[in-house]
Amino acid sequence: MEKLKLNPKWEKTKEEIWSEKFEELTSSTSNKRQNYGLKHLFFALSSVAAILIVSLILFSKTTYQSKSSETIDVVLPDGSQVVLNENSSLSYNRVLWSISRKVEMDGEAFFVVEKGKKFTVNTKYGNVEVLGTEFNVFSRDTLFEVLCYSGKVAVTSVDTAVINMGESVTKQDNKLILAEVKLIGERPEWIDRYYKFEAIPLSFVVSELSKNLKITIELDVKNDYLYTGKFLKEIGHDDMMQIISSPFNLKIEKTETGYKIFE
Amino acid sequence: MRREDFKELYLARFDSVRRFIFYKCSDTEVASDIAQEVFVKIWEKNINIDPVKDINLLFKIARDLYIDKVRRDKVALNFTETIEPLNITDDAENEINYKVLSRAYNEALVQMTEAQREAFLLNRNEGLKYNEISKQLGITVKAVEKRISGALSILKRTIL
Repeated sequence: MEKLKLNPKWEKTKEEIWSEKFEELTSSTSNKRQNYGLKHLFFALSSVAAILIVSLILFSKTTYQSKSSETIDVVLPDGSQVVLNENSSLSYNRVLWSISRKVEMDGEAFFVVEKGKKFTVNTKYGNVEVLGTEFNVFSRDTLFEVLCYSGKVAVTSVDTAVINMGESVTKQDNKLILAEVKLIGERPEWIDRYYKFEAIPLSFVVSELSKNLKITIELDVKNDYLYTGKFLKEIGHDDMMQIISSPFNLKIEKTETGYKIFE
Repeated sequence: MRREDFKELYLARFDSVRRFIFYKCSDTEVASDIAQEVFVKIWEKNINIDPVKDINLLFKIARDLYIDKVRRDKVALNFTETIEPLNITDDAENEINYKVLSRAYNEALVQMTEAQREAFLLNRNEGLKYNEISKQLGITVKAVEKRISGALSILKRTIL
């Protein structure tokens, strides 16, 4: 047995392995920390991903901002409708919407909320919680007022108040003041401050205006036009005629009882 | 550990580390791979190993890596291809003797436990003294003696 020896036949000598593998490994000092580097990279990548996801949730906000003398109709994902009065803003988070129906609002808006889970309106001066109703929220400068048009609304500001249809709550001197309001119409007046037409035949626009303004408007054109436009109700009749006829290069003439529009 | 020290340790000990693993598994490829991993680990984790004093640490790393990677999937041991006669003679009778012997030798090595084979081969093949083996494996000299005597009795049984 003394005559036998185990002699493993290596594929490569230690010198070959050194030059193939360890020469490079030991030459650059940065490689020393390769392991830790990879770990750090992994942590860095995962935290970046986490931040991305969080910011995706936080910043997936939809915002509506109305300019002066402009109202915006907004339909929320659940079908609830919001009419934003001028110079107001409304925003909500698309991602979190399915978890909680929550909007942020500044200015004035009228809400028609679909029945469902709790619906919350956050404003600078107070929060409004409802299940499904119609109500108007005014929150601008330091004035905060909620007016309920149907159903029940819970208002939280300095205090909590529940109001029913035809009641309003106003924040004054750090107190919530309840009041009864005589409702005019089914929605706030400000919503109907404008005439608004979208691809409506000019003949219909004219008959609508003459009915409301109680004047006669004659329309003398070969073909009807489709009118799209929006203007304040309180402007003068002359201006209104100008507004609806100018897009089609029509002429206006004043008559005894009203106007005549012709080509 | 500076680069020169590392290279010195590598050149002095790389082959003994891979032979050590080879005695366990009879696979040169696995042994080379594990030996490389041992030295990569020493370099990357910057483990300070004195080429003379800390030998047992070196072999402990090797053994741990081997247990981690290989021992789980039982390998079929076979040393026959690496058994060589110490003095090469082209004498026909010796040739036959050698073949018979080497087969018996392999049989004995396979039958030994890993611990017995390790101690036995470190002694016979590496030429290490008992106290050197005890240092390398981190066991007492008594334990080395016991393992080797166990190995020898297996060897006797297979050859006779």
